[in-house]
Amino acid sequence: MPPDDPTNPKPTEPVPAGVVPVVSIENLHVHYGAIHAVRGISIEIPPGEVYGFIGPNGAGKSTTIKVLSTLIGHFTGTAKINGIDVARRPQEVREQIGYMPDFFGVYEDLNVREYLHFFAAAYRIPRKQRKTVIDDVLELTDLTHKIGDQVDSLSRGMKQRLALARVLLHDPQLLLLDEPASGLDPRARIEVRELLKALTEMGKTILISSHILHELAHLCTRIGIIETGEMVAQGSLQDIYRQLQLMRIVHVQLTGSDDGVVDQIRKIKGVADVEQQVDRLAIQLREDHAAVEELHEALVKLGVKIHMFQPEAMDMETAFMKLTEGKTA
Amino acid sequence: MIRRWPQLGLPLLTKELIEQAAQRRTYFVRLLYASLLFLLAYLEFEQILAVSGSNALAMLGKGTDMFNQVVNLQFLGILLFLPSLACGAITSEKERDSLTMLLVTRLGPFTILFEKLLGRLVPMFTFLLLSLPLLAFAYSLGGVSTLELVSGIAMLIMICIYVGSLAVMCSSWCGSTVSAFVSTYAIGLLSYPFLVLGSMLLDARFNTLATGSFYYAVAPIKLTTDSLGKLWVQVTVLGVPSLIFILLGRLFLVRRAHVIRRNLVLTLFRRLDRFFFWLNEFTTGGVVLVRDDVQLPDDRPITWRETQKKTLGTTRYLVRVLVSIETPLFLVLAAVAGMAYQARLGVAAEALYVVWALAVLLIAVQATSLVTGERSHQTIDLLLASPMTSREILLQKHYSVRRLMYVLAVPLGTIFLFESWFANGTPGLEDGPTAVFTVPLAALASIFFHFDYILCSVLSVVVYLPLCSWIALLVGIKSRSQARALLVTLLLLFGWAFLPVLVFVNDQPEAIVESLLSRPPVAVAACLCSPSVIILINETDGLNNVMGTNDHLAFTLINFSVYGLGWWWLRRWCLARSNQLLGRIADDDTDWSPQPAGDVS
Repeated sequence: MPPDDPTNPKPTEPVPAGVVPVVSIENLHVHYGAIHAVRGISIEIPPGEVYGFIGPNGAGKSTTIKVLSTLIGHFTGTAKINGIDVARRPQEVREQIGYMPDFFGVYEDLNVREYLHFFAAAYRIPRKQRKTVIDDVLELTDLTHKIGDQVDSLSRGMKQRLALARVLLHDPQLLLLDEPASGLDPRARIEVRELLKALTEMGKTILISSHILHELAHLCTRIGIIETGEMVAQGSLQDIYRQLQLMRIVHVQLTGSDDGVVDQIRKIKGVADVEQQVDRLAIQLREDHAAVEELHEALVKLGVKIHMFQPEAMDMETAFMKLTEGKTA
Repeated sequence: MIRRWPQLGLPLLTKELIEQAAQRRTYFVRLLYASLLFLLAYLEFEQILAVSGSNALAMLGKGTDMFNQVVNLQFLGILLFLPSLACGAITSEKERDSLTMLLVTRLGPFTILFEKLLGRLVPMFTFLLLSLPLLAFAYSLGGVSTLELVSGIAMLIMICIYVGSLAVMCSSWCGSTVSAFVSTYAIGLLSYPFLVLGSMLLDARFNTLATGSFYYAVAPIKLTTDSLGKLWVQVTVLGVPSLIFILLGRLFLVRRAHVIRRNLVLTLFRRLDRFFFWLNEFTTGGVVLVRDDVQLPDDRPITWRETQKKTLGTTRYLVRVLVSIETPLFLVLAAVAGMAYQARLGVAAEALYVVWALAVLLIAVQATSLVTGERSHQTIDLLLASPMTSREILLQKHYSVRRLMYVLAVPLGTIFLFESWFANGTPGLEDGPTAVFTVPLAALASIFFHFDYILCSVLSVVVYLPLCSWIALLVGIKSRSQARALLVTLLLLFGWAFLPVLVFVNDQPEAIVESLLSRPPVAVAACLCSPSVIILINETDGLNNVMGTNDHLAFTLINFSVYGLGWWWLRRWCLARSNQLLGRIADDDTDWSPQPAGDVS
């Protein structure tokens, strides 16, 4: 397997030697009956990183996060939080994580104060410190003015912020956020994103899943793309773009050329294939063999008149569409 | 133009039957039902053998008892199983928000209702088919005419249709399966007098009026008639309301397709709340003795929420539950104190059975909701991802049921006290105004005269209530929805309690107890088969020892040792496997020692 192959499931940026990764998953497999939901995922997340977990619905994102949250026991492979094995010492792991599921669990009979006090007690925060801690997280999430309101009466965006306040109560090092912006309106989504940025600046390590790609592009230091339980690519955004650009498509319109030109283009260094479309040629270029500029130069040397020369733009959505096929496990 | 005939695909029925066929539970229930039916039929046959001895000719003509037994068992089976099978027919679609999708298909409302009804009746008919070999065997013994055989089967089918239509109509009306289940039984009970009335009117019209027409409508055990006219009367009596239920069900199906789900218990308690508030204002001007001062949680957050924020958990509501049960109970028992010895004890025993049923119902509702409620509110994962141990979560959850059990023990204790006082001859009752003081003292003193009875009664409360609560909690953990958990728990607990009644279905309680006490090993076995047997023995023989045996204390000790052990083992098993039960990873070397905060054990 070549080192730059985008389907390489190994982490592309291993954690520096001597640093214990906050999250370390190796060859994780999860089965639900006959369904193989997660197939050999490996991830390493160093401290302070924001790792975006991208994939279509049913890809295995939530299952992987649930394994890290100690909620799924039937898995093979290893999953560690700060070097602690999730399968062997889950109780210690629970002290170190803040888990926010992809739904907001509602205790309709509690108000915001009671809700946070309830979980502060569940996280065994000493009684004397609870008020201070709760005031702090409410201020951070900008919910201080809602402290007396019933949880059920809050808007969805506020509920998400309250959920973030909840996971911050015991000051965990790692936040596991499953689709935190799902179902939010644009304003609420931006508010949640800003809040996550603030948490990143506080040095929290965050594993965040989403299928909304540009949301993660602004936030994450690294991303992993998962489909049908398999990691299809991971690394920094630039890494993934570079890996995918190895086969960049260049759209070319030539005037006054005949069919023989196509054969000549196929012989240019770096060209993998040429597809004749209705009004253009789609040239697949291996960028590790030849740059886009070299292709242009080679075409000019062939003596053809170039009406249009358009390398396909690469963004996160394109990368995602290129890497995934829309299948589910 | 070619005229196309409508296609009879019955897609809903096909889907329902395929779904049921794919579930292991279907086969398990069928096997259980068949085992129970054949076991009870065998017991009946053994009785026939015991009476007839080894003389084969003496058995001829004895098929009537067995025939009646089998038909009666099937009748009880229909009443127990069919409402729970059929009440979720429409509500399950409403709960899954899929009824709208059905209504916008080309299936008409009537077709949907009809196929749903058939989908529930077909499995019940398979249960009825199980009894055909037994009916044939009873027929071969003689004593059963062909018309009786046909009418027995016809009546079972008609009762199936009647109960099924009623349950499906309730399912169309209600928003949740639990509401539909409760409504089916409530309307079934309310419709009973109308059935009797209809039966009598038709009997009079067709000159078939005879003794027992009251029972013919609903109890096929009395179908020993060879009159075709009476059979038609009963078919009409059950058929007409069934048709009305189906028509009403069709009407409600569309009109109440988007009905808002309501928590029946919550609604009931809110109404009670308003009534008590009015009563308090009216009588005392608004004096409040028990204030619900809601404080923030201490170190046991789940217990705090269960006891401060949930309807059945708060002190105020528990006091109201107590008053609601205790007041009418006390008045009834006080009113019957002047009656004859057997009569007052009989009323007290019946009151005890009612309070036991109510206690089991309330505990089942409370305990099954402990975990299923967290699931339905999607809060279970939040708790499981917290550092609280699963053992702590279960124990803190169960604490609210313990409070309810303490409350329910009071009316049960009241009945025990009254019964021992009744058995002692109601001393102090004739003391005039001083009776206010002498009667309670005499009642307390009577405990010492009936130590065996009181011991058995107290042990029944101490052991059975927690046992029920842990069974309900376990079923709740294993179930996906509270409705299913509640149905399974009630079927399990009431089925277990009514097992001896099914065995001795034709006998009076006194005859059952006499039969049991004459054979102590059989009595012990019966006690261990069903928890209600010891209560039956205690109520029949515990106070006056009419059977003349001295085995009561021994029965009590053996029974409660075994059930107590069962309760202890179940609790320990649930706590030891709490991580697996709640679906959470357990530490390799889990320390089960009490935690510094939160453990209520």
